[in-house]
Amino acid sequence: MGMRKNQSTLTADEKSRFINAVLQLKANGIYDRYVQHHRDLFNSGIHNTALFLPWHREFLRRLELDLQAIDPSVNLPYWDWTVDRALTSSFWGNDFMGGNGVPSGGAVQTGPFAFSTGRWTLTIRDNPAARVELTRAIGSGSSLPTTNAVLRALSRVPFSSFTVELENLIHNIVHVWIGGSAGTRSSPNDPAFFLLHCNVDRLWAEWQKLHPTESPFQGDGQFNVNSPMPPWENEITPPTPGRVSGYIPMEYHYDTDIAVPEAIVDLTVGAPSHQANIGQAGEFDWYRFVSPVASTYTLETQGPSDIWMSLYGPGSQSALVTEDDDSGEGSNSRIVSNLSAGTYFIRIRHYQAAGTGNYSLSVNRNAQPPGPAEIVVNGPEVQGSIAATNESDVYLFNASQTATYTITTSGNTDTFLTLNGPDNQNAFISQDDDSGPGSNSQIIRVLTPGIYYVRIRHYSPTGTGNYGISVRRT
Amino acid sequence: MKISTTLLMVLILTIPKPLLAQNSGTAPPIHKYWTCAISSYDSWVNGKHQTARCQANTEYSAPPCRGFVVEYEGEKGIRPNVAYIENTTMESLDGIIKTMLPTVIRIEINPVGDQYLYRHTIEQTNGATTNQWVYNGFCQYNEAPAHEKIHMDHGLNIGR
Repeated sequence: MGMRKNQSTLTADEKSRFINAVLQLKANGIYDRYVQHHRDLFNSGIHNTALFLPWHREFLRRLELDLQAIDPSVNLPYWDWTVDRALTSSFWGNDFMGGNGVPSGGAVQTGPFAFSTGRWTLTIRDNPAARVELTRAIGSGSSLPTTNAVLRALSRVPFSSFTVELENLIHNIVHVWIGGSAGTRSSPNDPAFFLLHCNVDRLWAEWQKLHPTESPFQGDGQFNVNSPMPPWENEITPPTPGRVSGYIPMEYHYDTDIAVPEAIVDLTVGAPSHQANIGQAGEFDWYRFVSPVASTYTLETQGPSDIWMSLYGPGSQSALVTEDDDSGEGSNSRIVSNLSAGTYFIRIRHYQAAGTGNYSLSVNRNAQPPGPAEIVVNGPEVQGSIAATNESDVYLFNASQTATYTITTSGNTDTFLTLNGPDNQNAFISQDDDSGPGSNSQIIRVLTPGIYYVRIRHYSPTGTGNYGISVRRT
Repeated sequence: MKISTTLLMVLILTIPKPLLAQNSGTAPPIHKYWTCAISSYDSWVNGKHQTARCQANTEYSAPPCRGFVVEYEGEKGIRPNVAYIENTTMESLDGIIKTMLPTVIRIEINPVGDQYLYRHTIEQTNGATTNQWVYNGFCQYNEAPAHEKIHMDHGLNIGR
């Protein structure tokens, strides 16, 4: 998972790698596609709507992935304009963004994006008469937003208030402050665009941490949480605000995240509780478990901490299934959900942004109302009885791994065994009469993971008698 | 400045779609147009005068301080020293009265020295009172192949 750093902390090598990747993306034409998308959609939903933050998050992430295809070590840096406010800042240095236009409002003459380098010609512009050189008019159109202005925006709730203030009173002002190319619809022509927006994206992430009970996104009547975002709406799984409202599932994070996300811990359904703790404010703990069969599952925390639990899946770390705060004991979380078979992800955090503490987490499959009794693989033999004519008994067992399984009956009854599955009581696999000792049955099969069903009856429709049954994995 | 924002919505933002500019007549190969920007604006509403200046004209600036396109040719194009005048009715621009009022729109682009000055005046008469909004700015004359799109807002309050 890549970390997006404050640009002021980048080493010379990191700066050089970022710049080189951007220049290569420009040279191969991909960079200009980003400029064009932004220009063409400027007044078609990506500004002054609820899409502003999610659209630009997706936009930045795609560019970052394209840069990483060139140099996997590159991550988007962010520019914190509340700190690096001067034109003399290293941000505008010759080894990074280059300087102001000469004269102000004119073409940038220094740095890697100066027209004179021959590597940065603006081919996508608002109108054909616009200049082909990158231009800037730094500081002439506005004053950069202050820390207080940013904090004020971060204090706004709900999301709809926050995004309007962040866009209009913070983000717009920074664009105007840079001026020139950054003030046009084709503003990504200035690579500073991406560092500016990376900080906007970081502020959205900060806002989410500051207001954990607020919805991370709200629709506005024109766009909702499931609205496919242009120009990617025809993709098989188009990005939506809901899919990008959490950034860690998009596999990046910021150096200002107090706790670096930990590796995903695998949990087993039915296993004893996993002991863990939220050691630092703002920490997220991630877990993964496999639901072997469609069923009802209970995910539960225990302990003294006020936990907020989010469940994602199946097969996705960003598709939210549900969330819970206090449905468990005390301030613990509990999610009871009908899940299909698949891989699920659990995100645990403290309810309070600054909270820390211990907790334990368990995932259990709920007892199934009247259904087959379970035979534990390699466990004790289950004793049963065919007490009436035409009776048959059904059992299930969980094959947790691909292996050879031996299902055997014991006793003096002439049993007849049928094996069905996986995860389907009616999918026939095999049947047997007398392959076991005496008149007992035995089936030996290589099985893939899943739930299997064993049906036992007397060989004779009128026969009765006791039996034992076991399942062994070898 | 409420009145200015209201007016800008009429002037600039009501036609947000990218403009595929056209010439009058039979598909001339060259598209002649102005790119303009407001530098200051004044209003006289119910006897009160307000004035403001634009620091910058970017797509991210607060209205009306944005760049926009004005056509040079065509019925509603603006040529130097030839004022475009339109008598119409518009909703009151004072932001309060929502009735339709007689309105005169006058747009001029005139050469002064080596610059083209833009002046856009709107006068609305409401009984014995006449309110006025004046937008001053600068324009640059451009020519481009007729097929090339211009991704800027249109400056006139008249669609095309």
